[in-house]
Amino acid sequence: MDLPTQKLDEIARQSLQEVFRKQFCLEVVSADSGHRASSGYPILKSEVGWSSENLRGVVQIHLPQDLVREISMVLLGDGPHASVSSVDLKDVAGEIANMVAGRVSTLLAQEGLHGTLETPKVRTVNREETEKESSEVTTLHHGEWICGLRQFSLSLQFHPFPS
Amino acid sequence: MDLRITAIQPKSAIPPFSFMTPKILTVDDSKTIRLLLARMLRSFQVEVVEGGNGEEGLETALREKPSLIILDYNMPVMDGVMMLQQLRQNTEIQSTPVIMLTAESNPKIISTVARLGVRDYIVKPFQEDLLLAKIKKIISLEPKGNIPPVVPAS
Repeated sequence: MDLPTQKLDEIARQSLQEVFRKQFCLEVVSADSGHRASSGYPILKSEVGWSSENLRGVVQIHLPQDLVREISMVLLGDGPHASVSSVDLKDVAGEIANMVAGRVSTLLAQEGLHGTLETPKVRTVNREETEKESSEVTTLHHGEWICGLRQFSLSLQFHPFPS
Repeated sequence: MDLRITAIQPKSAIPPFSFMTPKILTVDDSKTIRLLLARMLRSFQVEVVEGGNGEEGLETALREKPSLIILDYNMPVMDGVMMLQQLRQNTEIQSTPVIMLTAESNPKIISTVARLGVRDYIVKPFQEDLLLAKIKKIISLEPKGNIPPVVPAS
């Protein structure tokens, strides 16, 4: 991956803020900004694969289930269609990741890296799994973000293909 | 020749133009997006039918003969491009207008679906106003409760 880390950080920030602002009318700020927030468990971990001819990547978002529920209410309202089950929350989390990954992919393409996306994979993780995974995986970008009173994270991982 | 509709319905009857209600098929593996689109369209006189992947979308298109299809690209079982290719090969539904609504912005895919005659391509995240404007360019969307008056024959 030839992109400097700073560029990747900018792509991640722009993608998140555009999706949250445009689709959910919500503001997202960096957790470094001094705002107070809590992660809360369980976490919905959503992953969207990205691949080009010689690079594979993953866009990964860890969203507290409570934040996904709040976004669901913004997105779908409180009408008869809006009964949010745990399956629906996974679907919403997957779609959030899909949109963010889509923006990441578009911005990477503007830097000359053209790739295609895969369908999102979502699963529920607890605190132990989250901490274990974050100690094992090397990411090119990892950011902690705040939406409302909830903290969540976005990671971008890329590796050469075939390795 | 006067081609205006001559039937006059009593006030209590089904709205006189109900047979003209357009039908929109939304095909997306995300239930969230299908719900979002249904919610966006609920204030219009339009029937919304759904498919969770390309295969379901194709079956529903054949059965329901929609006026417009809003189609995702990345879906399990059958993706949007494959569905579009099969749609264009079926004489019963091949001329159905299609708007792509997807997170995918790869130029190769955009060029492939353009060759398959999609009417528009919208990249998620999307603004509802923009999507509605694109839909209105293709089919007539009347707000609910705003039924055009019946013109009696002269």
